[in-house]
Amino acid sequence: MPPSVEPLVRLQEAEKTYGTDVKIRALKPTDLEFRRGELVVVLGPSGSGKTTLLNLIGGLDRPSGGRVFVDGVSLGSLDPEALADFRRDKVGFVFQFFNLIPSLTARENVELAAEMSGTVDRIDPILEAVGLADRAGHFPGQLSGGEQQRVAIARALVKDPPLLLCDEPTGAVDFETGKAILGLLEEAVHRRGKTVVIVTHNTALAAMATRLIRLKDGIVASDEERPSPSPAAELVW
Amino acid sequence: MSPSVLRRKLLRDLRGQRWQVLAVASVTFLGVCLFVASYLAYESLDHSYTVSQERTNLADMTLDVVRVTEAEVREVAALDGVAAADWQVVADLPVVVPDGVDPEGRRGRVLAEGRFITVPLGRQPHLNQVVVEEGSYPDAAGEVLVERHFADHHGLGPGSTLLLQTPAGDEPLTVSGVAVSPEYLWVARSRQDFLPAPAEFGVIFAPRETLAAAAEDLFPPDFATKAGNRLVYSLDPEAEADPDTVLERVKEVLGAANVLAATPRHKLMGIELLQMDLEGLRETAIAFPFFFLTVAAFIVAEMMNRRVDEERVAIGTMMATGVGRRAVLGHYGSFALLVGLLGAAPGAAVGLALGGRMAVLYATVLKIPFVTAHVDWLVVTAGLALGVGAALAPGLLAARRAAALSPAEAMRPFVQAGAGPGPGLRTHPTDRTGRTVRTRPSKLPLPLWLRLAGRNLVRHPVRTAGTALGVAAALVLIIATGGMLDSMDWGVRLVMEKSEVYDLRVAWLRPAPAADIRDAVSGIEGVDRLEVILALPVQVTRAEGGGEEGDGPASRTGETEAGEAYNTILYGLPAVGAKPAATGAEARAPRGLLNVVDSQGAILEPSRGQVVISSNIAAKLGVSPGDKVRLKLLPDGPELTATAGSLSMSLIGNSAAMLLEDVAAGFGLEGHANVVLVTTAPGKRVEVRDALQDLPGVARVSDAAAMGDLIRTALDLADIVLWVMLLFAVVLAAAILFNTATLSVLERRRELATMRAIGMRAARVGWLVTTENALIAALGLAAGFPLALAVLRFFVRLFASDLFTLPVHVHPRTVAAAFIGVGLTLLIAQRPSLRQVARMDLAESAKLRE
Repeated sequence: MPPSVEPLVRLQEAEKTYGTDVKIRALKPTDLEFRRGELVVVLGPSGSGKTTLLNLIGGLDRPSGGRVFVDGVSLGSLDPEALADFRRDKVGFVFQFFNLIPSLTARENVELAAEMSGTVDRIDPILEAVGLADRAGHFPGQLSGGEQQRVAIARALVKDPPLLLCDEPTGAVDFETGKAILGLLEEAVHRRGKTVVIVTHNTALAAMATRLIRLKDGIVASDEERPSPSPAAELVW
Repeated sequence: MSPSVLRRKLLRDLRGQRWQVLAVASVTFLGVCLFVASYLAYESLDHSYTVSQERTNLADMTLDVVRVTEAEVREVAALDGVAAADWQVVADLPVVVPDGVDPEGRRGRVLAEGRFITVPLGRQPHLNQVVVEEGSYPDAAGEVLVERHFADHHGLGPGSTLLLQTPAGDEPLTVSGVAVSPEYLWVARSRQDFLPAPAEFGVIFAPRETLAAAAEDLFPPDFATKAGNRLVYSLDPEAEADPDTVLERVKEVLGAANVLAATPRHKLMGIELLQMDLEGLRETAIAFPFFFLTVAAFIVAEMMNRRVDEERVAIGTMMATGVGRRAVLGHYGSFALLVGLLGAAPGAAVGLALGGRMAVLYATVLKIPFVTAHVDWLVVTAGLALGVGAALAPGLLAARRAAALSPAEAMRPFVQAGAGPGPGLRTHPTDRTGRTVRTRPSKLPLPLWLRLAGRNLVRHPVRTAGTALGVAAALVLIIATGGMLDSMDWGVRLVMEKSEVYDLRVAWLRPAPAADIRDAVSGIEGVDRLEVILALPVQVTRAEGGGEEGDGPASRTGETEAGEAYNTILYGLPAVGAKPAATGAEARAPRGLLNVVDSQGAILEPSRGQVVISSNIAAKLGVSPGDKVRLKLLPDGPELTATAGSLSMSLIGNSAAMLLEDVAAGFGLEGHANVVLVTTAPGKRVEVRDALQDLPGVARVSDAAAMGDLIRTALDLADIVLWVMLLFAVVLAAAILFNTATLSVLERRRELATMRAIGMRAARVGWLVTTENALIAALGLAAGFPLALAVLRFFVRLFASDLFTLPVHVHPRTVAAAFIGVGLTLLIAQRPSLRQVARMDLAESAKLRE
């Protein structure tokens, strides 16, 4: 599915500075747009501001300056509860260390998200789609790393959000498992029309991006379109 | 890392966890303060009592006898093992205070009962001396000393006049001074009446000559001048004679049949009551601080274990840098030590100050003549050590765990079980210490939030159990204390509404024809209903076989069986035509003006030949329903035998009851009575009381309302204790719930941040946390309730004696208040942690590793 023209995400001079005594400019004033149907890979070394960028887009953090729009809504104008509603409806997160609730089963972790968004009828199909239908009754501690990340992806997808934000989704798993995870994310773009933003320091993932952004020292060093991305299955690192 | 850096880290850590530290410190402070204050007060008071008794040469043994002569006293004083002996006359006589204060607080002529105790003229007795606080010791005929409580109530002082009522007329007595006696710091009339109103009863120390002259119509010849009815003696400590052997020899001198009762010093009523009170203080000093310090230990254990887990990587790094294990042990141990000191040190200091004040206040109220505010530094040190120990013990365990870590292992970050290289690696879930915690999906169709809350309880079983225990402890504090008050209230209601339903009780000096008494009283305007009864001092013994049996009138014998004996009051009550098969409300409805009741309030009416005795007397004598008992009229009257019926409950004191006709026939008092019970028309009580006091032969008029007021005043004081205990319970519950809620949120930051990140509102996350805390509290309440009832029963049994018996009773309102109180405390204590949830930095928290 070709990327749509209307931007889903727009950053207007968005910046983020941390600290009170010692100030750290994690992200300098940045203008960016992400369109629907893109698979964006944000590359950068540690401290480049890539996670900060993800947090601003996902409404986990507020910009120190500038504005962030997602689906036409300025995140800066939302109070904490409205931000929670925004994250519920518009964003799916996939974290490096899965962030599953340890005392809930795989199915229940997905159910947690589905209940909030009223999409409980999607639980089983999503679990099937990520290949975990027969492991749904297991707790995270009883699952492998790859299985846990699949659960996390299912949790993100069950809400049917337009935007998936993934912070080092393959950082805690082995190579083969990582490729399988990336395959699911790729599928989310091509089959479900999601916009997926993957933040990583692993340069091998650049090949699968339809849009590649490099960050360095809080600045967008480069921003290139990639009309012919490689399938996740062909990646090697 | 240098030691000074570790010290800086220690201080920062304390600051960083200041609210939890404050929670522990508060609980430790209360525990140590309560222990030190109560125990110091107990020791000071105990010492003050002992000093007061020693300085006044209070006798070691008191014998109530029919008659003892001076010659017999000299013979007793000469016995081996006896240091000194003396004799007294003790007689309860009617005395008028011309300008006294009646139970309503009005000034005027007041008839009271005076316990006259003889003393030598012009000099203190060898034994049982008095402390003259105002005026002077009597050294002229007609002078008396008045005991402090009676004097203070009526405003008597040197120069005041009292009138001793005798058959020949009123004999004036002049008050030479006001005194206190260690025997009467608690003024009790008898074991059946140990809370007499000071308006109606007082102790008067009268020289023998004064009493003999004033009351010559009341005593046999020579009484009060050369013979008495009480012998007192003290033991020679250097002789080291066995007190029981000495007593036997004394009885041989006096004649066993002459001895009505032998009371060692510690069993004298006033002293026994004070000692019971004191023992209660000592129990409180030990029991309640135990609760607090246990909870403090638990909180420290949780806090320290979490700290060590969180700082694993830092500990490994420190060790890798060169910090030794001892330094690590010292660092974490110091944290616990400081936390303990923060509570224990001020607790000990405040306890020290309070202990002295409590003792002085108590001594002032009781008018103890010699007060020593005794500072036992061992108690203060023990309190300090207990408080510090409560924190240090669990803290050192955690510190040892930290010091035992292998640096390489410690620096390896936790990864959620199952992740990492190799597909299909499956393990069981582990808790933060790495131990396996088995969980299974619920088969019950419970909502997700409930499943989550329930499983989180199981994830931390020790914390869940410890918190539940803290909640249970708080509930025990509230219900045990509230239950004691409810039990007292129930006991008072049984007395005032079921048992003693009269307004006034009039006692004649001697039994008189019942018809005359009835006519005299019924002629007073305002008398509504009256009942004529007998109330006689008797000695009860269990009959060892023999005696006449059957359901006929009680038999009369002339001999006393050997064995355990108990002196009490026997009531002869008129039959009021009760229905034998009455049950429920009918059985509990009062019939006469004086009714014997059981602990449930059911009226017990003796049948012919039967005696109903108090359960506490039955326990002392080993009597069960159906046993034969002998009742001997004191001091030297006839005996009768009766069959023990049901056992009654007496809140205060004890008694026995039979049908009036049985008592009258058994003691040769047919047609006679000595007590009238009266109810009055509305608004007429005071007038009727005044008129009754003027009747000839009346020894005293007791006002039931005055008695009720005394009891209610005592209950009001107990209310203060309840509120203090409630406050303690709230602090206890708040500290432990705050700690658990805070730890729970801190440990699950990532989990909670994830929930918020995926779109759950802060309020919903807060609701999840509240549900978990509520479940733990519910566990605590469920465990605490039966424990609270058991503790209440234990305390009631602890204070039970022949003087005082409480029925165990907990009002549903108390239980409801306790449960609601704990619930409210939960809601308040977890607010800080819920605020943390709402203000969480999601970006940082969601990225945290476990």
